[in-house]
Amino acid sequence: MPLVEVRDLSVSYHLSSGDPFAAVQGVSFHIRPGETLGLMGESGCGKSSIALALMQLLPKRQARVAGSVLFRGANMLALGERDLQTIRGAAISIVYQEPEIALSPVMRVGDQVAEVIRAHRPLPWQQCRSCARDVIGRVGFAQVERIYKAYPHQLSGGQRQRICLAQALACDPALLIADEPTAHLDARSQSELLDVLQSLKRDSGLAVLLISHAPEVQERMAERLLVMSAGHIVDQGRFGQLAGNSHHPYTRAVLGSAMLRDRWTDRVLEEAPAG
Amino acid sequence: MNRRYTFWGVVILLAAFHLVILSAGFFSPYSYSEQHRDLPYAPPSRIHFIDSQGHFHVRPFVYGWKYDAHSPGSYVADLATPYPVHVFAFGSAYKIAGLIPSRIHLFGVDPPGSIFLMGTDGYGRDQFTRFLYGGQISLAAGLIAAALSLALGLVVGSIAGFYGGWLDNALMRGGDVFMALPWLYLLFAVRAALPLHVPQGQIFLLIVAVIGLIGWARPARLIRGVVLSAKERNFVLAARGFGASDFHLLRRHILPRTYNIVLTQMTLLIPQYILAEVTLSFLGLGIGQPLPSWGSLLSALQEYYVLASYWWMYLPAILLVPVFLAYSQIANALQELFSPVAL
Repeated sequence: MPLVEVRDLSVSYHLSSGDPFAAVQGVSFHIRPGETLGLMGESGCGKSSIALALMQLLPKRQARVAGSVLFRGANMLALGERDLQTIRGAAISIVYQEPEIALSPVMRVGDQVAEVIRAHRPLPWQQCRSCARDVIGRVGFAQVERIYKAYPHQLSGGQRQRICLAQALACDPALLIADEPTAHLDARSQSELLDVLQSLKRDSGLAVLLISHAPEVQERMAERLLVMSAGHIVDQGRFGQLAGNSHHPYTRAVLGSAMLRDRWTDRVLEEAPAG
Repeated sequence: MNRRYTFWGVVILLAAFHLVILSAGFFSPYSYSEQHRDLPYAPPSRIHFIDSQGHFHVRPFVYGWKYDAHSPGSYVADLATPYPVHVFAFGSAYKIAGLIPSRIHLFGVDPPGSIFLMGTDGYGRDQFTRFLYGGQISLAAGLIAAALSLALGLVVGSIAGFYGGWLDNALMRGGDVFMALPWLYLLFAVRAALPLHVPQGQIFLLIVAVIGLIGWARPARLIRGVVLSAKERNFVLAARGFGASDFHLLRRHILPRTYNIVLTQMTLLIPQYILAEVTLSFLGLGIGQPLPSWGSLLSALQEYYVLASYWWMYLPAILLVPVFLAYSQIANALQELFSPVAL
């Protein structure tokens, strides 16, 4: 039985000016427990709308969500705000693409992790803090105490993103939605973050919905891949299958552009003067 | 750097002023209701060091006043007897901080001499004493009304900003109505609706409540704006994604961003509300005699002959100017400190 089953999900935005804009149109997919499902597509194709719709985080006044999202058999779209609060952060967590602004600038990052724990577990504050220290250790920090006491501006982008990951994983969720987690990171921080994510997945059987337009990230992480274009899922399968011989021109374009870039990078490296 | 010193200088001066007002009993030579019936509208006493014979005295002294034989209704100094000014003089009873009874005053002269730093009113009461005691009522009214206004503004503004929609519209249009109200006439109406004899304490509470209730709309509007922008901040959305409740978001992430506005508004509202209380008491709607407030001190100026003849009756109004200036200095400094450029 899949962990999450999305059926016929549509999201449309009703803005005060102009016609409603259909961002996601009749999308269906499922995520199995412990699986990493990749979601790829160009900017504006509806990837993030899917992520926010799964969590019911879209502004109710502007966004209409139709279809159904079954999480462990319960329809997320029919749940009230109270029930959603108990699921968000505890059973399903989300990491956003910009760690710079996903953390409050005026609170110690450790306390921001501890607050997630306090929101979901009936523990005294001191215990929440020590749990938060454990989680910060799990996302690959060696000097836990120093990181715990730091403010966001004192950390690098990669470190901040790992703190966001710690927040997301603090309550051992069954599903992590990672919305372009590496988009704003340099190559080294990106690879560190993916390492941490992979080792956490091994340890805890976490399922991940990995949203990323970067083929190299998907190639490394995704067990199955959905390719999206203009609000529809246009192709799906294993990364290798799709990259090699997809019938869909869009898939070939998205993955092909990446290969083109790889070839270009290789050539630059070859031609660069040695030393 | 220099500006910072100025700021703290103003803060310390203002704090010292409030402290003096708070301990009016000690700093004033008389009690606020003590009358010197033989000395109505006496001008301020002059402090002398050199007597009429040209001798120098280390201890300053004052002369008494006697009626001017040539011009009726005015005084001349009675040079016959100098009255030395005593420090920590023994005088009328008062209570330190409203609790500990004491009779020690900072300064005073032995009777039958008298010292009136700001002259006397028509009953021969010391204006300086009444200014200090009046400050207790006027400052308290300003402070409490400002706190009330801001508390209301904070609640209404954050609800309107956070929940938005029709609730926001209803609250903000309600605020517009309050801002459009002619509050002075409203106060007349409220006062008229009450029985003639109301205890002083209730009058005070009524004034504070009305001033405070009318002024919430402006701070509410400002706070709504901050809340509106803060709730769209990504870390607030992120916290929602981790299961934070509305109350948690407001308390931990949104309201802390409004504190600078609350502080700045506080320093802006206090002098405004002091002035409102002064206006009301001036019109006779405030605290009644014999209790003084800054407004009732000035209400003597409603008589033309007081206005024309006794310049020292203006002194309370003139002394309010530096107080209000100090508050607006602090408000300016805070606004500068919290402006987005500084952040």
